[in-house]
Order: sequence, then structure tokens, then C-alpha cells
Amino acid sequence: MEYVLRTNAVKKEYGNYKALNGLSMNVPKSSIYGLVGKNGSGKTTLIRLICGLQKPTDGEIELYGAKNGEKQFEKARRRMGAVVETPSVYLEMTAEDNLKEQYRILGMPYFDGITDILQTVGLENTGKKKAKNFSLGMRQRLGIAVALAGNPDFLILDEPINGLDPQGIVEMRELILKLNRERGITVLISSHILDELSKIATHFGFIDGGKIVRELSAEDLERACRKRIEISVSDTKTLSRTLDRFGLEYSVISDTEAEIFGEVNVTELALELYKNNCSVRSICERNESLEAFYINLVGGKSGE
Amino acid sequence: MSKLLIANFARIKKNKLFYCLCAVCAVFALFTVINQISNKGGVDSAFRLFAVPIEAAAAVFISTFFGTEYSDGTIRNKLIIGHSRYSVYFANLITAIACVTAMFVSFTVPVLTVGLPCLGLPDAETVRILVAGYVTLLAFCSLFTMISTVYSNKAGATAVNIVLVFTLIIAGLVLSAYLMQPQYYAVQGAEGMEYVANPNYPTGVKRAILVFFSNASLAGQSVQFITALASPLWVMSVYSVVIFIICAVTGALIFNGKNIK
Repeated sequence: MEYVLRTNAVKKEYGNYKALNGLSMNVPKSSIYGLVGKNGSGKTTLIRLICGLQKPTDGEIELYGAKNGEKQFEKARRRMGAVVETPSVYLEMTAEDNLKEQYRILGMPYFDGITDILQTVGLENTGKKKAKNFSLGMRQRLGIAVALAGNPDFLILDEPINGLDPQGIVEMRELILKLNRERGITVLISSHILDELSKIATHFGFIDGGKIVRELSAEDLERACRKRIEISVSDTKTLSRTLDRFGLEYSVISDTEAEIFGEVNVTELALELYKNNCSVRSICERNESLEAFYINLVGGKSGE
Repeated sequence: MSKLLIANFARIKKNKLFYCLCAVCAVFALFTVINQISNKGGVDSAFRLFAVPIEAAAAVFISTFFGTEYSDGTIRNKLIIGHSRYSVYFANLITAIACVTAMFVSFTVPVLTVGLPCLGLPDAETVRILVAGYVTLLAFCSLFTMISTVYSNKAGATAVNIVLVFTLIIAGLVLSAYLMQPQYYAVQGAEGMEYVANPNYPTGVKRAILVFFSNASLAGQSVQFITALASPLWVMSVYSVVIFIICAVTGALIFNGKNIK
């Protein structure tokens, strides 16, 4: 798999406080990577390090194959755009002037494409309205527009839906999906709103205490959160044959444990297993929500 | 760095505060010229007042202009796309120098266009003071850029710069008054006027130290341009250049290691 960003044992310390404690993560190309963690878990610190706003105390950050400290790393950052915490826009300027300013910073000689970017983020009709008079959602979209100047293929968004109303959240979600699907932009989004991330992310990294505690794809997460029956039997080979006959989807965990997905008639199953000399030791229904999965993962303790 | 300079100058082109401060410098210059004409003074006095208003204007402008980068968060846009910290810092310093030069020109043009026809030509010393004063302004530029780039609070940096410039000017005035007091003063004695040594007149090492501070402090130099020179102009310019370099290097190093939010 090709990765846009990889970090290896990254640490960031502020005095005695360890904001990041050996964080390792991998962001695959063309993915929407959801970085999930509670407040104070280290999401924004990690993003600041990736963006070059702060330097790691230790560890390695690799962007498009270039490692931090190498000259190529700064060049690789030209391929990315980011909105860190609040949108970085000049409040006294219009949306168009903000984009022109970013074009100049990038050294782009012409202002071609500004109209396209404004249309993409839905700000093409803002005219001479200054950014200070924009709503929060409009500012967020302008921040993304500025990040899109220079045609990046990696976009980092730090808590992009914070403070947005439901309409703004829907618009932001659609915008992110559009950028990923139509422009092929890899997106790294940090958020503590797991439910919202689950609607768009293709990969997840769960961060807690300055570390990635679990990294998995959306399919793996869905599988982990599916309604299922955990069953413990004397022999999973017999169980497998029985479940195949019943036409049920399942997953064998060990010689004695398995998970069955979908609706199961427990009595029929138990009788069939009994006939085949396979005893049922325990059976338990699980229906884990995303939140429950996350809480189980991070232990549910406060990080603040 | 050229990209950052182009971006900075494009912002300045649309900055109302910059034009207002240039206008304030020009109006102040006109006022001093008219004052000299009405008091039948010379053009030299009008020229020599240039430093203090430009220093105050520069303190306000530099801290506001660069402070906006922090308050609006736009400094991140420069760093995220790979511009080095040194490029950002020195582009800011060059921009500040250009703006202060514009303010200097805003002051001198009215004096030249109105003052020269009405008050005549300045003497050579005044021209030399203008040159040395410009070097002092550059040192102030470096100091204000350092504070504004290192201190990421816009309001705080503006307050620090303004308080700093006025504190330094007051200190310079006090220092200048102390150094300029007469060595002897006349008293009425039994046999007429007698000259008595002034016990407060600084001499020896004490005077040398005070002269050093008056020359080395930027505001002390500005005050000397208006009142009287305690040392040759080139000495003050050397101090200004040293302060310029110290502030530029210190500011760039601190900014390079700074954690930006």
C-alpha cells in the first residue's frame, strides 16, 4: 500500500508534559483518514508537527517518502494544505483576496483557478464581503479554499465541523467527500465526533494519551461494531460446518471461539451442535456502537 | 523569500493604517515647517525632528501588521507550504524596513518641498544627521520586528513596542538633560559674579558611561539629533548597526525554535 504520511515513534514534550508519546500512524494514499481522540489526546499537536508549526522532540515523520530533517521534506509540504484549529484567513480581506494572497505566498504567477476553488467550496457569490463578516461555516470553507490553493494532493483538517450547525456539518461532509472522490485528495481529519467521521472516513486512527492505540480500515471498524453473537464451543470445526449449512456469516477467532453475524436461531443451532457432539460453553450477543467501541479502546478515562 | 516579499507588499498596498501613518508623518513635517516659518527659524530644526514621530508610527505599524499574522493565524499558511522560518522572518524585516523608509520619505518630502523654498538650504550637519537618523530607524525596525515576530500576541506586541519607544525616548531625554547641564554656574559672590563647579555635572567614568548609554540607546540617539550631539554621528551609527544585527539574529533564532499554534 502506498502511504502519503507515516509517523514513527513521534514524541512531543512541553517541559515535563508529554503531548505525544511515541505515536506511529500510516495514512494511505487517496484515503480519508479519521484521527479520533478525546480533547487533549494529542490530535492537534500531531497536526502541528506534520504542518511544521512545531518540531517533534523525537521520532520520524515521513511525508511522500521524505523524512523530517531532510531538505526534500520542506518540498514535500508544498503538496499539502491544512486548516489547523481555526481557519487561517485574513479577516480584513474578501474571499478572493485571501486566495490571491495565498497564490502569491505559493509563488504562483497567475490567479487562474481561484474561481474554481471558490465554486468548489461554495463561496463564489461572496463578492466584496470581508471574511470578518462571514459565518463560521463560511470561514471554515474559506480556510479549506486557502488550503486548496496550489492544488495539494494531501489535505489536513483539524476539527473541521467544530461549532458548525447541522446544515454546515452536512455541507462540510459533502465538500470533503467531493475533494476526495473528484480530485483524489487524501484527507486527514481530526475529530472527537466519531459518529460524523464514520460517515466519511475510509481509515481510522484512534489516539489516546499521545499514542495511536488502534489503526483500522472502515470495513474493519464496521465489522467490529456489527451486531454479532460471540460463541464458545468445544470444537470450532464442527461449528463451522454447521454454520455453513445454516448459511450464516461467521468468523473463527480460535479453536474454541467464533463470532456469528446476522440473526441466529440459538435453539436450532445448539441442537444441531449437540447432535454433532459439539458442546456450547457460552453464548453472548454483542451489538457494539461506535462510541462503545471507542470507549472500550481508550478505557473511558478522561485525558484532560 | 521573494514570494513572501511580494505577498507582504501586496498586503501593504491595501493597508489603510500604513497610508494613515505616512499621512501623519507628512502632516507632522508640514506642521514643523510652518512652525519654523512663523518663528523665523531654520529648515534644520524642522528636519531634525523626524526621528520621534517615525519611531512611534513604526512601533504601531510593525506590531499591527505582523501581529495580524498571528491573530488571524495566517502565519501558518506560510509555514505549512514549506517556507522556512528564516525566510519568513527576514521577509518581515525587509518589509518593515521598506515601510519605515516610506514613512521617512513621507516626512522629508514636505520639508523639502515647502521648507526649502521658504527657509533655505539645510547645513551639512543636518544632512549627516538625516543619514545617521535613518540608520537609527533601521535599528528600531529590527527591534520592533523581533518583538512582533517573537511575541505572538498582537495587542501585547503593539503595547510593548509603543511603551518601549516612549520609555526609551523619555529615558533619552532625561539622559540628555543630565549630560547637557553646565559644568559651572554663575553665582553672585562678594566680589561680583563667580563661577562655581556644578556638583551634579557628571565627570570621568560616570560621564563616559552616561555618554555610552546615550549613544547606544536608539532613543538616546533620536534625542541627540534634536538637542545636541554628545559624540560623532558615525559612533551612533555603529551602535545602530550593532543593535540592528543583534535584534535580527536573535529574533530569527528565537522564531526558528518557536512553537507556533
